[in-house]
Amino acid sequence: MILFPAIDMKDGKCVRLTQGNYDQVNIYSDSPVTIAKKWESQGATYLHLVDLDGAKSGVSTNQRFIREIAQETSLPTQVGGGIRSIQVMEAYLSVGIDRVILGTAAIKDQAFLQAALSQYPHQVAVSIDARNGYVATDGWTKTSTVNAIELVKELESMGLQTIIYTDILKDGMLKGPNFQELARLQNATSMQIIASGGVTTSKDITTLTKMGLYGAIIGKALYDGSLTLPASLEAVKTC
Amino acid sequence: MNLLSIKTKEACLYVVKNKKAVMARLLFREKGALFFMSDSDGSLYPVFYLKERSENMISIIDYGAGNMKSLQLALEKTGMNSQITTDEATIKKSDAIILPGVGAFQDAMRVLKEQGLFSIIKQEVAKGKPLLGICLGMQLFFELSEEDGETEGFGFLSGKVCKISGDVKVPHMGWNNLIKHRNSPLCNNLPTDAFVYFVHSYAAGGLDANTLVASTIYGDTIPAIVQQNNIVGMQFHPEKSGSTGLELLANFREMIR
Repeated sequence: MILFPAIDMKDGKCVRLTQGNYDQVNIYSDSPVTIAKKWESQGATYLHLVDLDGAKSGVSTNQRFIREIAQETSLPTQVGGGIRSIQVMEAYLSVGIDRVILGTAAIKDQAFLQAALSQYPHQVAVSIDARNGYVATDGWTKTSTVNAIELVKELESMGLQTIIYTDILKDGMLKGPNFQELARLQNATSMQIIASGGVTTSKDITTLTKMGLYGAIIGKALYDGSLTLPASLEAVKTC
Repeated sequence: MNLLSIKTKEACLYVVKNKKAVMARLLFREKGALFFMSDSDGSLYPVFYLKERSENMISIIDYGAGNMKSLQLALEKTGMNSQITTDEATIKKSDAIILPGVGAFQDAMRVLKEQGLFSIIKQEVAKGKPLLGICLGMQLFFELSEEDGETEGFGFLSGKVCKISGDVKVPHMGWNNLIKHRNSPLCNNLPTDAFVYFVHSYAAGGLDANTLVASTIYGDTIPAIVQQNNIVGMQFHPEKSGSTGLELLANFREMIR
């Protein structure tokens, strides 16, 4: 399983939100690039970058830092937040980003997703942010009536290969991932699933690895020190 | 001291003066020498060299869409200048050629032939110029690929490129360990448990056992590093494989001289 240290960016700073709430912001560093290099030096194998300003307003404001991270590390990177056009996707892919994550955009505009998948079949992931089994959109500020599992099946039939499943009620709560929901997903699809939200202990990581998930994103636990990256990587290996 | 392989704009060295070590930083460079100035009293210390490593110029063959910026920056980190090019004179002048990995086999061969790059690369390789193929770039070295119907490759190496088999997800996107098959300077300084990053749907098969330097297991045995004299192929992306990838690129650099 690939562990993805998360670097969430807001106004050019590395931050964490609690449960996707833009009013509960913790700033961890003024330099996202420094943080990226720190994770690289500690053995990270893939970075998960989020443009929170883009996710909320659809306008990307942290692109400069994302580009710097892609170029100054020698790791694969995936980026999400505010990617709502092929042009923005291409801008990211052209500076060395390996995978772009579509969220709101994919759910609202299937023609866009279809176009994205036909041009870049291996470089697109869709992020499904769910609250009580239903999909949330617009930087988590709205919950739709779309059932998450149904959406996953539909996306797979369109040719999607990777999904990121975030449980909003678990994210930033340090109370463990939603294993039940992830297991249901894993059974419902053969796509690569990246779990996000709530990963707190080495045991969480071991459990996710044993479930056969493709990846897991770690955020808050890394930043508040409850989990170190080397220990997390070790937990994947010892499975 | 391996001064010239580090980023020279940040270079510094220690000079022993009155039995004390003082730090000197790179002030400027002239052809054949670097001039360091000590922090304490401003004395100048020239360091002469015969050939600067970073003068190596690598041609990254530009044969279609795809991002090569990451590769270029990884090369820079390992002390190699590069340019992304299709220009014959540039390729001929360069010290090594890199064939990066983008797109599909058939399209790649068609573009390489249409632009005359196929024969230029063949000529340069025949002269002994180091050639590194990455991902699809490595696959093109083989005789044949089954991608989009049978397509002929460069034929530098014997073998055929086939779809990844076994009960595994395709494309293969992930980190896998390198299993060494023979000793090669390409594997110098690698950790015993070296992991590298793969993104591919096809892999070489039926190759001459002597060319296989390292493999990995994904569904089946996947040739990861191949080498035959001046021809080196890496199925994974060294530019995305962290410090292990940089080490591999540095080992390739050692072949250039």
